[in-house]
Amino acid sequence: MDSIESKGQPIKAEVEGALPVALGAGIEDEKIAVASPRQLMWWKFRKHRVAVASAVVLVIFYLLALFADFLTFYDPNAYNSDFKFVPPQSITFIDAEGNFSLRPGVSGLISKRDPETLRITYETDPTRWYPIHFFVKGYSYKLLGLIETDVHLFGLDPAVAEEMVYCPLGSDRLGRDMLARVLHGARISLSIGLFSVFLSLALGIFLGGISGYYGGLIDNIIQRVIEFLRSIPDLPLWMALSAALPPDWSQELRYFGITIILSIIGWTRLAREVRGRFLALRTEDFVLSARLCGAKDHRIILRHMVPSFTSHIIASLTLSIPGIILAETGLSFLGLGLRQPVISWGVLLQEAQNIRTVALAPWLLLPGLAVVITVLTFNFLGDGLRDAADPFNR
Amino acid sequence: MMTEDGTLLQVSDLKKHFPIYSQGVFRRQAVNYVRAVDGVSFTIKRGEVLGLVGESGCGKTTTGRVILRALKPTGGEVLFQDRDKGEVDLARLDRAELRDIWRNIQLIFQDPYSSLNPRMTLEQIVGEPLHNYDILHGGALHDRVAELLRLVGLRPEYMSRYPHAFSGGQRQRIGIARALALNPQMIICDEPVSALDVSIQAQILNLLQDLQAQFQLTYLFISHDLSVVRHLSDRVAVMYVGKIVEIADTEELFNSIRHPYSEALLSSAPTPDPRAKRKHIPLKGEVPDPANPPSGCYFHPRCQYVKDRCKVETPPLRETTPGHWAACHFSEALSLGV
Amino acid sequence: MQNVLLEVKDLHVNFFLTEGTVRAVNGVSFEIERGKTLGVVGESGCGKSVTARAILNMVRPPGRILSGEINYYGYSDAPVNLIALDPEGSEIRRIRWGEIAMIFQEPMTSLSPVHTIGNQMTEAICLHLNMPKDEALRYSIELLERVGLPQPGRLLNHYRHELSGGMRQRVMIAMALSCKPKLLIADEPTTAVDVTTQAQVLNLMRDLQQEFGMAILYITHDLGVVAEMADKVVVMYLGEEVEGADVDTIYYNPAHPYTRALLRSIPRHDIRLDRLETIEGNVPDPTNIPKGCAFHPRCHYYVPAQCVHPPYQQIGDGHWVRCTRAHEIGQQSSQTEQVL
Repeated sequence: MDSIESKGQPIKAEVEGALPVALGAGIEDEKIAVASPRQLMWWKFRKHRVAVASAVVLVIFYLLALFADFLTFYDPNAYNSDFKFVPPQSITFIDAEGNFSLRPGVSGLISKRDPETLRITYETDPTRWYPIHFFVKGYSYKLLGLIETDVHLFGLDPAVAEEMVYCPLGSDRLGRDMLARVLHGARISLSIGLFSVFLSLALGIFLGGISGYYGGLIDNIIQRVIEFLRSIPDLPLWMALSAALPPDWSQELRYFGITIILSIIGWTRLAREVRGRFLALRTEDFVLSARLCGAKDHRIILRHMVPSFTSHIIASLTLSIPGIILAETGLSFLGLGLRQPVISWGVLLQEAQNIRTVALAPWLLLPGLAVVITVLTFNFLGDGLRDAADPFNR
Repeated sequence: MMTEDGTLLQVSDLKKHFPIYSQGVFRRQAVNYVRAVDGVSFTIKRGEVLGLVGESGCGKTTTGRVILRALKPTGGEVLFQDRDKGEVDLARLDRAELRDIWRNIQLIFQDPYSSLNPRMTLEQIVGEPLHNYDILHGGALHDRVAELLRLVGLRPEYMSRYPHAFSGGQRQRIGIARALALNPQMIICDEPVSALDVSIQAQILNLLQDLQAQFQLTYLFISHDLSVVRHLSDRVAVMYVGKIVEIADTEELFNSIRHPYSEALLSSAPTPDPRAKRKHIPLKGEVPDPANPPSGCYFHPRCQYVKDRCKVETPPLRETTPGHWAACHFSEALSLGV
Repeated sequence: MQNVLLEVKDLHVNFFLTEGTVRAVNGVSFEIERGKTLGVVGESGCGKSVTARAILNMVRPPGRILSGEINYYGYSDAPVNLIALDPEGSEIRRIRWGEIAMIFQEPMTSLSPVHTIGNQMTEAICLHLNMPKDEALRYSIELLERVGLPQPGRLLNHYRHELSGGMRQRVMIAMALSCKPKLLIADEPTTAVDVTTQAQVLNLMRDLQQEFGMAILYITHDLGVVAEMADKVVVMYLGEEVEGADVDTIYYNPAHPYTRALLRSIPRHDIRLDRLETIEGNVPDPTNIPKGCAFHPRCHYYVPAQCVHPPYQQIGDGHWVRCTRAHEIGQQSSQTEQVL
């Protein structure tokens, strides 16, 4: 059939049609004219302040997770029965003699047992003062999994380890350092989102691509399977599957098991998206024109079609990470996902399950805050990417 | 039909039917067909411009796409005198053979926005055919692209720019340069000016005219606009619901119409002359659905000269006077004109 | 002034975009007479649609009417300045429906996809004409019949996607006519439909104009349609009027180089032309309108010293031109030939 047949002018309303192409033609004409689509996207993304800020926050989060052992002083699984439920400690520059010191330090703690509730409470004791040292030696670990070292960014003198701790975010019911636990938990929680999304992507692109490119019966079958999978409520499915993971699996296997479970639903959305893009692009004039210009199939797919939707795929990938992070958190919180001694934000939140704990030690909810920030920033970033994905306004 | 010497393209009984499916769970079954192109025959001589005119949905764009084999025809024959291979039936070629044919038949698109890949520079876009057919590379390709850009009135310095830097008219020039890159024998122009502003249309029409003269190109010029078709074409074919209803030399057709639909079409076209006193023949009703066309002559429900015969007997496209073909039982009896 | 229905005086509308300010309408003035048709012609981006919206005080952000007057004489001799009215107020609403109606290029967007044609029509009529429901229904059928739609009773139960483009446009016209407006603004109403349908719609509008005696402001890029429809014509280029006169003068004695070039650049179906004249270059970017005469970079008659920004001046009876060289050019052409 004759496709869009407008007569005379493009159908767009006049004012819109009058808008300059892309970003303010006429101001930096030449620069924009030769700018590659990637540059245009970057310029457009850059205008989205919230997305840029979110990207920065996320980069910081991932760096924190990556250097978690260097940045914290205590082993996240080390018990310390003397210092349970220590609230977040602030630093002070006034030493024991009341003099100003350039070196930050923490005041000593006096623990008291509440006679009625039998709870331990802490009071600061300004007469004792412990300076914080930088690049101190502590437990040994492998930096980035490669370099064996025992240097940590900051900490108290190992000599006073018996009488004092420094937990910037407090400690939990076994006296474990919350900062260390949140940062180590970030490793799992943040990486499970990425891995799971890439697994979904691989499945989604493969199956969606087949579906969109070949069509016909294969397309039909894949679409029906997707519809079936999407009709199952997510949470019960995940719960059933993770309950089915063999209990004797090692922590690593369990981690990968959970990743796969989370991708089982994830890929369907991406496959739909990829298929939709393929179908839409197949009818684009420039794809036909490439064929008429003698381009072979692989060139059409790789040079003409794929670059046209990668940006969209990246945006929708970004938008699907938060869902996976939330799912992992939810599963672990319910005790069906990862388990101790593996640390993830969901596992940490398990500690904050009862009201009493939350009321008395609200800092145990900090992993929840981390989850909220991560999810929000991924969403903002995804929004920004999606807006920038199509920089050519027509 | 006519088969004199110098015929470049001969289309006989070309058909393209699109199936309408019923939606099952796994299997789809065709319940009906949209007869987008329903038995179209015509010839184009070397160096000729054949205008194909009709309203939206009449199948003119599909005809172009089927000839070019962007779509597979349902039936019919498209004989093309290829420069390299001699006579070939485009309707029967497989994909690999088609690739060679596209060196000699090219397409200019209606929409100058969607027809250029926004992620490629001008050099890559215009140079694409040269690259794909392994004709030129590197500096030689660069020079040829520069030459092509100059040919269509664009500055070669623009080569490293992306399409988003250009206006609709300039983009259409880029599309033309790409179509010319391989020195094709024939170009199918699919509404090349209908998306452009009035003042830009003339530039592109003149460019197409100049290029045709310079390279002895043959055009199949598809348009809904009678004035554009009259201006550019040597011969004109009028399409209605998948069939050609009239075909003749341009001046002959515009001066002595032989089909009531052509008459209605021409009388509907507004004239840019306030003093023109023209007969208006308002058409009743709507264009029929090509999936369920009326019986007999497809135009009969809207024709003011309709007789009983038109409702039952489909009129063939026949030569009423030499070189003037019309598909109406009463071509000779009616005195048509605007 | 007896016959003037609507008067646009020195209208300025800007669009404030991040890329810069677009002077979409830059000092436009014209008059519409009762019962007559004024054609506004121009290419995309010339500001013709924005002008139409400004008349109904419907310019939305980032656009803003900066200054000007739009005096409506439909009530009485005392004019109402439409720009001064609150754009959301009750008075402009009454005018928008009852006094000045508008039809658009794409009727699809003006009709709701989830309500039947009948629902939309009767509801609007009930609301604006204070009619009881059954009467409104009868009136809708009458209107649909009047615009030449077959089986209007059945049509009322249809949804917009079940109608063809031409039928939708007729429904829009029927709705626009329901209050018997004194002015109908038609913004490219036939651009999205085929020629035969266009002819039907144009015939209908002409007939209805005779019957109801309404004035029409017809906005289009199509010089053929203007020649058929308009009594007077205004030619716009980049937000300014460049020429205004009665239709015969515009086509047979145009004085502005742009009008002349435009007329010579269109192919004709009624006569054979060997070659089209072209207007060089492209329509400039509206954020970056050329200094001086906006048309000068594309003008054959450009003389640097003379073509400072020209005023819109009268050169003949009701013939206005924005060109400092209009007199010379006019003499040249009357000596040589009629333009076509």
